[in-house]
Amino acid sequence: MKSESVGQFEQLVLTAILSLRDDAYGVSIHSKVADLAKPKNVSLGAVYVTLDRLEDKGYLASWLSDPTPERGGRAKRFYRLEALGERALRDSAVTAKRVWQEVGRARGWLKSCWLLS
Amino acid sequence: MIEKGVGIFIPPACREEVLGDLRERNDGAQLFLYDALRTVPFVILSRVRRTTDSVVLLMEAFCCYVSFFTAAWVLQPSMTATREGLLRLAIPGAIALVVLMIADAYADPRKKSLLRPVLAVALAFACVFAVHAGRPLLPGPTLAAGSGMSILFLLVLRMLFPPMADRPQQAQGPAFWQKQEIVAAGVLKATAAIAGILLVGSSVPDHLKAPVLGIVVAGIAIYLITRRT
Repeated sequence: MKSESVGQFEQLVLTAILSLRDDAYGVSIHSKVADLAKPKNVSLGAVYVTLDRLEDKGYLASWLSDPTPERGGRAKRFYRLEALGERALRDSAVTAKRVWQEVGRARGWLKSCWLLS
Repeated sequence: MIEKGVGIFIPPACREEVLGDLRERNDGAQLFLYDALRTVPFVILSRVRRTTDSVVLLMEAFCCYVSFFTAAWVLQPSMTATREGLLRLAIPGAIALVVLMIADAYADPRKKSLLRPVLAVALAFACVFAVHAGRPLLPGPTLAAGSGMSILFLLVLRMLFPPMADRPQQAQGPAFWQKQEIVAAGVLKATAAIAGILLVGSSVPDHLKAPVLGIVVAGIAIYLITRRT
């Protein structure tokens, strides 16, 4: 299946899940995304909405763990990146790299113009 | 106590993990409540989006409107002759569909029941009649006949296209991939475009209809040409 392009917030969530590995669940993903998105504030609700959307796209898989006492006997929903999600994240990273190279080139050109003048 | 109260508003499909996350993040009751107020509306909207198949919703809306229109046409023909009357005929169907969407979102996917579609439709029209009791929506006989026909149509549609929570899931891939809107995305866009053009067209004065139609046709042509190149 062809991977769709992912938005900036979706990239943050996918990156957070990738870096958290086996510990990617609601609270940990939210705090990782909040770190990555600084200085912007990120709400837990926005993270849930994005996780649902990414799961619908087939980028993530999720499962419930056993209940834990520190959560009042409630289970955690863990997330894992699927192959499609990894590909989408890689594609967006490649695009971002290309954009950044172009910005660097344009900056260099502007600098040379300024030096000549 | 507060946790139980908040739990009522969270759809059962994601109640466990959302309540657990809120509990883990917040020690005090006030913080828990504040965080829940900021989080739960997003969770509900996300669940509604996941459980609503827009193509099936469109079919349901069409069936409801045709039912109420037919009932009015037979029992109260004057209603079908005015714009206000035609708009009023859409209200009961709209209320029923909103209730159905919420009922689907709050359905527990772990508890499968053959009666669920029947109960959801019954609840939707109970709400329509409850609203009607407070403020009459349509003349009584028209509402009753239209509701009867709508219930039959909706039951048939829900047997053909069960709510997302009741659909069997594929071995590989989320249930979302079985949505009709994935299959018929083009149909949905075309329908929305035609409905939009007709709605705009109906409110344009007669002397402006020709230029507006020309602009719309030119816009569509430009869109199609630029999309292909």
